[in-house]
Amino acid sequence: MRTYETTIILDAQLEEEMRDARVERYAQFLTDGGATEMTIDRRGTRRLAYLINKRDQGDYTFLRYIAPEPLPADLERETRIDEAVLRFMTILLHPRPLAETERLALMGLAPKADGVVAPSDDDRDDDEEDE
Amino acid sequence: MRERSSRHKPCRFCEDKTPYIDYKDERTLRRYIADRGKIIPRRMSGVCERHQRQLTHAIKRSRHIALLPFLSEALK
Repeated sequence: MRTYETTIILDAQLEEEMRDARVERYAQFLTDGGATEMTIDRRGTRRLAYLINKRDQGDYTFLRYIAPEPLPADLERETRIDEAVLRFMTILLHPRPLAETERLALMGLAPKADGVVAPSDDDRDDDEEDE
Repeated sequence: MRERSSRHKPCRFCEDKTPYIDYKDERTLRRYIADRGKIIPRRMSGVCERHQRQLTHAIKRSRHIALLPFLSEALK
């Protein structure tokens, strides 16, 4: 089990209900696949720094969760064939299982306390799982 | 020969004790890209080696999700 963060950029031209439904669907997909402690961070519509599929606006969602290793790849397979998804990216938030306090701090769920938050930099060698 | 100044400004991330340079924090990252969109080298920004590595990684991720440009709008 590892901590991941997936960014999904949805086409902002879709209706809001449809976008919400998409996010809901992907969250459900993760939960069904064994993801736990999910936080869904909807940032809403914002301008893209460059055009993607001729769109200049995207709806940003960040999903943070703890999941067994094959799950993010499965999710990416789903998002890749979905035309509503302009861009997606999954990163490993931390490569080793975290202590409870570290994990909460990293997920933004707990106030940072001295000596608790920072995982040492040597361990923080994230790899990227993306196209 | 002129002696090199020994005044050395410490890295901003070291000073703040930043545990993690977040790729979603567009405002911070923008300070480290030039007008063209290029990453500013650490000899100019004064960021230490470790944090420059993390910063570069964060900027590249940020570009991928279109929070930052690969090339600035004016140059297209």
